Amino acid sequence: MNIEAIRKKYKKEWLLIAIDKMDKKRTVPLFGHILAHSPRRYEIDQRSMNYAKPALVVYSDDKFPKGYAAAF
Amino acid sequence: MPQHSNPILKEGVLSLYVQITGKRTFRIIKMALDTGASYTIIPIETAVAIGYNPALSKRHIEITTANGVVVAPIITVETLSCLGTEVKNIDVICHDLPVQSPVKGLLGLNFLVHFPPFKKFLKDIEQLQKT
Repeated sequence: MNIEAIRKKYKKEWLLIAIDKMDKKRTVPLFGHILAHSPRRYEIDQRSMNYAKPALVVYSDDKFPKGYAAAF
Repeated sequence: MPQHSNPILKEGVLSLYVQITGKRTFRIIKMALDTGASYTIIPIETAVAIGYNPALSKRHIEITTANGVVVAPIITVETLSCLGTEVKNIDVICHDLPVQSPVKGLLGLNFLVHFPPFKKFLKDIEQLQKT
C-alpha cells in the first residue's frame, strides 16, 4: 500500500510500517504495510525497538497540533 | 501557524524523510531541517531499534531544550541518508523530542554541511561576507 495512503487512513496516530519499496535516489519510502498503529508514541516506540527489520516510524500528520509551533 | 507562500513550508516546519542505518537494521523517520542545530538528533527508540545502546555511550553533550538543559548521549551511526545524500560514520545525539512534535528528530549542521545545496549556500554566504 502507498505510504501516504496509509498515513491518511490512520489519522492522528503513530505508525510502524514495514517498507516494501523505496525510492533510494530521494530517500523516500513509497510502499509498505502497517505493522502497528497507536495514538500513543511510546507504544509504537516499544514495537519498533523489538522489530529487527527495516521500517518507517512516522506520525500520520505533518502538522503540529493547533496552538503549537516549532522552536527547536 | 505562520503562512508561507512556499508549499513545502506550509506546515511551519521543513520535514524530510531520513534513513538512519545501524549495526542491526535501518529506520526511516521524519526529521525537521534545523540550521540552528550543531548536531543531528535522533530519538532513543531509533538508536535502540537499529542496534545501539545509548545508555552505554561514553560520550555525552549538554543540550538546551524547552524543559531546560539535559545531558544526552552521542553515538556514531553507520550511515545517515536524506534526499539521496549519504553520510557515513556520523555522530548523532540521542534525545526524544516532545510528544506533540510530528517530527521525530532534527537534521543538524553536521549532516547539512555534506548536503550539496547547503554547500552552495555556505559558499554564497562566504562570498557575501568577502564583499
